[in-house]
Amino acid sequence: MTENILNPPRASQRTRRLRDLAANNSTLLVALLLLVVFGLTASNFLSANNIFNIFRQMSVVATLGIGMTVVILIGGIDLSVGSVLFLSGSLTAAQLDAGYPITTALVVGLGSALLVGLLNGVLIEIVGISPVIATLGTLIGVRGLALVLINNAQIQVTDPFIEWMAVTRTPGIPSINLPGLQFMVLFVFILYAIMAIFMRQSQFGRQVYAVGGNPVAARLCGVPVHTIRMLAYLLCSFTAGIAGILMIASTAVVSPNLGVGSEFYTIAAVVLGGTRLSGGVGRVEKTLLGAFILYMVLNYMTLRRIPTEWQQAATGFLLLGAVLLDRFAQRGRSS
Amino acid sequence: MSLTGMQAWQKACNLIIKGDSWESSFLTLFFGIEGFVVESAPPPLLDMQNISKRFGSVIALDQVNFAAQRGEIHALIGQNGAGKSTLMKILAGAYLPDSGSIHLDSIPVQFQHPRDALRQGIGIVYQDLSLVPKLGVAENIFLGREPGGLFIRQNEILERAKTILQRLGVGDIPVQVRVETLSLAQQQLVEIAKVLAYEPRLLVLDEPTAALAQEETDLLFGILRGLRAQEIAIVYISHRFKEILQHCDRATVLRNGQVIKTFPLAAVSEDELIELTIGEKIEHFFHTTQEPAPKQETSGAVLEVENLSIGRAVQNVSFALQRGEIVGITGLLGAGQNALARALFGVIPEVSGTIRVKGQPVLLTSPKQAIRLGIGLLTEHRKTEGLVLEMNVRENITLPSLRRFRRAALFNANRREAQAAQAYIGQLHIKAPSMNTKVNTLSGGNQQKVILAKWLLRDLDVLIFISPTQGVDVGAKAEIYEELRALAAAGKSILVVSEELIEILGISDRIIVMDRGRIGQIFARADATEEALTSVMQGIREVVS
Repeated sequence: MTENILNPPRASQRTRRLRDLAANNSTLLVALLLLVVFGLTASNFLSANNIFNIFRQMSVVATLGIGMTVVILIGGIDLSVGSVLFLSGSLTAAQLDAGYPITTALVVGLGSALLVGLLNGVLIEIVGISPVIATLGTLIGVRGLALVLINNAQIQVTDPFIEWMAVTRTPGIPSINLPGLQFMVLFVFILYAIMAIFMRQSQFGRQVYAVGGNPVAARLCGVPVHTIRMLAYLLCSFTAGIAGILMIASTAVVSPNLGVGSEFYTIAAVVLGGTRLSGGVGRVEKTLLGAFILYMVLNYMTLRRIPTEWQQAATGFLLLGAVLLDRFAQRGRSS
Repeated sequence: MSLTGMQAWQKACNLIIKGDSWESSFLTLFFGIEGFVVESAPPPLLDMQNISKRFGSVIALDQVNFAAQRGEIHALIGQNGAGKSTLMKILAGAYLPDSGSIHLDSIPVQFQHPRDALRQGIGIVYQDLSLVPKLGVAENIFLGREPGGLFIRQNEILERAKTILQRLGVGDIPVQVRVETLSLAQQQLVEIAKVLAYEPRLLVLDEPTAALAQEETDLLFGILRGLRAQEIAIVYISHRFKEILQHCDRATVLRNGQVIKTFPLAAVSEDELIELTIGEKIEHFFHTTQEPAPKQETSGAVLEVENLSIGRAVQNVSFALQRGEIVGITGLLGAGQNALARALFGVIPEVSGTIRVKGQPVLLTSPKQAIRLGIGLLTEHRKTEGLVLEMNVRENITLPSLRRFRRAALFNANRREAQAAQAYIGQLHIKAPSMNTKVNTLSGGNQQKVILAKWLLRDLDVLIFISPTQGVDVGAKAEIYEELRALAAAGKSILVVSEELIEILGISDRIIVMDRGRIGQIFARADATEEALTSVMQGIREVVS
């Protein structure tokens, strides 16, 4: 009798714990599942060469995703990252082209990105414009401004440091020129590792979750809500600035369309990573997984020679599917 | 035929005949006769039998029997976590029971969805208001079932809303204004009107008076008595025993998912109710004895307020709070006590007058600054103002004190943070599976303790509580009172704002009664009685000897 009462809950507790585990790591499960399915159905997919290729392709959007995740965590959104990327990349390239040293070029590029972040923060937190409108404005305006500043010119990037970032290297065996990890890919992984720890361990990280989860309660706890939000927008523009440098490293040339539409791929990666758009819930490192899933699917479709217009359609529906899946998982957990 | 025999027979019949209308009425008829023969009471309107529900390994309800008659106000009592909400959610169709049956008018029913329950005439007024603030009163009342086809007949909505409110005796609530402009009490009445518009046979009210002042509570019970006369069954959930004793007919006490007793309330005392609810005798629930608090000579006031005015809400208020003192502030809803408390925490910066903290005049402009000056605020809105629900117990407790756990300028020292949180979880007896449990899974009382822990860890000098025990069960209430007293004994100064006079009388060293924005009178504890406080609150300023 006692056993009859005690056994079923134990079993259900176990399945429940398993289900919670699965729900908490659904992004990882999806990534692994796709890896297996794609590996079985496309012969070259699982080669080291191709996986590294995916890493390289996703690195710019993944970098944008760091700041974007933080901005979404505080309950905001930043649509301007694609233009900030262009501003930072093109100004850096223009400085190099004009003969300035790499450090000056990087300071100008990243500094310009930070200025846009400051502008976004001021518009949203001090003037009180909604994040979507404010960053839509900077999305349109900043790209125009950047084009004016570089005279609408195409700029070749020939700086050795910038080139070095995109050189294919095999870690540990730098002398052999085999297809392998590039410095920029490693750099993105390192950035993510730092941010993952930072968001978990720092006062700023904790306060970001508090502000996103309940701004009223956070304010009543003495959390400087506006400051935290402004810092989030600054951080987002800063990572967009870094993404701009990585972008010109991988394309080696600045053209007017550089980074157009990348804000949407970035938001897609954040959402695929399970971060809640209303704020307060999510993990930076899961955005890396989200970006990996996104570019894995794109890569697979290229391997299978699916036309690009179909690729775009599929990407859109993948995003919707992921959101739906998350909804079901949450409903399953709450009932 | 014995009652259990009858139930078994009824069950057997239900298995054969699945409740088509003529068959059911046949059953009713049949059992009506059976009932007559054994001279038992008429079948109740609502009959829930052997309801069990478990969540994982937790048994929320264990073979619960609950019945409500037509024309009675039936109180459902129990601590938070006793199973009241689960039982009502099953009744509302929000949860499916694991076992057991529900009969409505002797007809077996099964609710798959809250809509089903509503269609069957079960109206539930939830504790958290479900109104749309930006919509008008009438639109809210008819939300989702507006008369008319493609185009809504606006005039009809307004007319019908007016009629319903008039029938409730609150015809003075305008039907066209946005709900957000109404007071909380009025919103509560609109919520009730909304449910009544469905013309329910059974009305469930989940702590409807938590936000109401005495006058509005009386109004509400007037309305409920009217509904009772119309043969509507009313289930009333509340933590306020006085109210229950005064207005309800019968009560069912739940404890740990089981029904302890169902009984008429005519010859029951408040103490008996408390004992039944918490399952043990408690002598020290309140300061029943008027022992003078062991007060050290006051070493100057910690917080002084001089001629403080906040718009029209508070006018020329002056008082001082000493070290180790508990001062209660009470008054009718809207008399200014809440605005006063919030202003002292820097939430309302537009004030005139002088505030001094430890003798130094200060300008309180933000909560952050108030905290730095050693002032903390706990409000009655735990979920919206007190907690970050998606964060866990530990993170909520340490949120205002993060600076203390910083290491190397940027990183929190996790182990020290965990130890600090754990210490307060132990000290305040916070019941949570672990400190990494999300706070939104805790009961109201435990959530309140988490908020208290958060300020205790911050080590402040002045703690301001607004309705500290609202929606908190009896056991947790006693613990919170005990903790307040311990804090005062440890030298903290405490300001308690509450409309519950018993609470104020039980806990305060001095009592400030507010009346329409001004201080009506300040009582020493020995001079304060419920009658005296009430008369000042109502604006009848008698001199109390």
